[in-house]
Amino acid sequence: MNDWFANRFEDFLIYDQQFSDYVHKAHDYQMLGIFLIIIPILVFFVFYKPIDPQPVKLWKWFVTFLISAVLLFLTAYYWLYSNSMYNPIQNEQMSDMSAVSFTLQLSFWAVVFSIIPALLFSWIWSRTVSINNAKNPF
Amino acid sequence: MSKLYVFGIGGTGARVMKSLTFMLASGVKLSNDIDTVVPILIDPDFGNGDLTRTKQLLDLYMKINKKAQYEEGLFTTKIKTLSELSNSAGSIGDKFKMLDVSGAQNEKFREFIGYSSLSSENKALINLFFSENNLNADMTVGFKGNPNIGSIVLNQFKNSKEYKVFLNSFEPDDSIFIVSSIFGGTGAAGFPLLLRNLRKIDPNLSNSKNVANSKIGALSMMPYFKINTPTDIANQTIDSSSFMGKAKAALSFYSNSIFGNNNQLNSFYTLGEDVANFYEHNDGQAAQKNDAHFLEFAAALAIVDFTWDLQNLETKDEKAVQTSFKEFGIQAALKRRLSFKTLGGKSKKQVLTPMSKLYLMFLFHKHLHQNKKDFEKSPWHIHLEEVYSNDGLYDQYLKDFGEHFLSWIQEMKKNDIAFNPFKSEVSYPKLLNFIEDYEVKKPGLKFWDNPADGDKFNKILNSEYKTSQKTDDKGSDFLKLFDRATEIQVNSITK
Repeated sequence: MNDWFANRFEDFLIYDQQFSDYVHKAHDYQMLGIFLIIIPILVFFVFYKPIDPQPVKLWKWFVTFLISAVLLFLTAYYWLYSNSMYNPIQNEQMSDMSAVSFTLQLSFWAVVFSIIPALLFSWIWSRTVSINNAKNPF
Repeated sequence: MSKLYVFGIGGTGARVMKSLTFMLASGVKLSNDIDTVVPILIDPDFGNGDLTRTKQLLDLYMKINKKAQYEEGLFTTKIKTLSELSNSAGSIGDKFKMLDVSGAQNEKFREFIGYSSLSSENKALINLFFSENNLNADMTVGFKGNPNIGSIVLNQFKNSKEYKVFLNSFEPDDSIFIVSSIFGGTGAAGFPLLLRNLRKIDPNLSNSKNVANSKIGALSMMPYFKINTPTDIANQTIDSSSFMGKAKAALSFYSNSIFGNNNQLNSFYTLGEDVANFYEHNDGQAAQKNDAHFLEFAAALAIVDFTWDLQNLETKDEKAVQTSFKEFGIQAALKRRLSFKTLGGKSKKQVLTPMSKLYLMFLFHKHLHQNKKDFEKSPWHIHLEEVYSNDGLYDQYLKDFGEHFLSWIQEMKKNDIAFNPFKSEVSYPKLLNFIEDYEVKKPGLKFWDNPADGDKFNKILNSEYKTSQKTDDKGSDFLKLFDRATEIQVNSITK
């Protein structure tokens, strides 16, 4: 699964072999993949089940997505930043980019990829657990 | 299953019929054996405002009732016209109305009885019973508190086509209830005449035996309002100071002709009140639109009570075996401002939940129409949106019915005695505190939660929608959904 997620990220990243190897060895691509699935699942579950807001508005769904995105971005960034294997090089300028900018890139793409589970689980939760927002946003 | 024929005589009869219609709409239950009510309005005053409003309401009810495809609840009791029962729509004129006083329209009483062609002896006799004003009375607007005129003119109704259709449609288990006032003209005159004809077997009229041996109940309204004296005293045609005297005279007449050995009635209900409210003086026609009064509501409850009592009533040889006499009482006898809590236990049980359900439905819609955008993404609303289109159930029928209902409640609040079952202005965040004297219970730990918020009811609608069976008939789905959701909501408030 680590390889699968690594390939997906590397399709879009401004690629740096050395940073990528560190992230790959630490199995962090897999962790990013898990975060970008789990966080929208949880955030949208909270939106559709306990909160289930009224009146039903599309902007409320977007706010929820924004919360999910921010949470994911922070989690991804924190996870990568605090990874011990990543530490030795975090202040080094290894190629054209810094460790921080590579981390930011990964966090950004994790958020972009999370759109897919966000939409998928919005559909699932809205049709199963939600009462008021069963038709929001679809 | 059987039918209940309700005769509403005069303006009071029409107003009580209106109250009954609202009760049936709310789902107040008649006895299990009765599934159809056939209203028959008797009033020679064709343009009477009260009568017109009641007829409009009955029409709306019938259209809405066709969509109520469930056993009990909102709008489930059938209301039918005589023409529907007989399949002779062409031969009967006005819906719900009986009495073709063809001779009385646009005519003075003098002309109606052919006064000018009478012998001088007969004229002298007539002059004993009828004053000059009586003889010159215009009967287009009813009998203006003159039962002596009414008793002559109304006696014609037995010759009407509607009466024959009524007799033909009558089945052995059907029953009859008559509502009239005792202090006016049309009701006071019409009631004993109607009753006498109902109890008489006429060999020329088929089925009259079934009718004569049926169970018949009646309600007579004692004076419960007064009429203001008009500014121009010369135009005063109704004098309310005579109401009590007329009522006494009529009761005295009833005691011999209806009760006593004749025993024509199985149940007799009376309602009356220390009169404190005044209505505008008018002769009738469109201007006669009196505000709804609590006693009319209580009168409709008497009809409901009669149906539950039917199994204890017996008729033999065109006479009631025994007459049951009933009066209406409330728990807080000295109060002039009533709510559900001040009604007697039985009445409260009968009306609290149903009336609250109907009120909640229309109150919720008042807010829905003010803030449409807040509801249009609710699942139930998306599914049922077409009921709000021009040819949908709500916009075509329920909206008007709701307006009638809400103004009926308002009128009862303004009157004396005031019946104030629901709070007047309720904001959406406090919507569920709409029943007077009832507050939604606050949740224990969820201190941030507002349990009276209208969104709570919207959530019940969504939740019930989710589990309900959907059909292609959106009108029917709509009524079923609101019946269930309002029931759940009201029960949670009143438990």
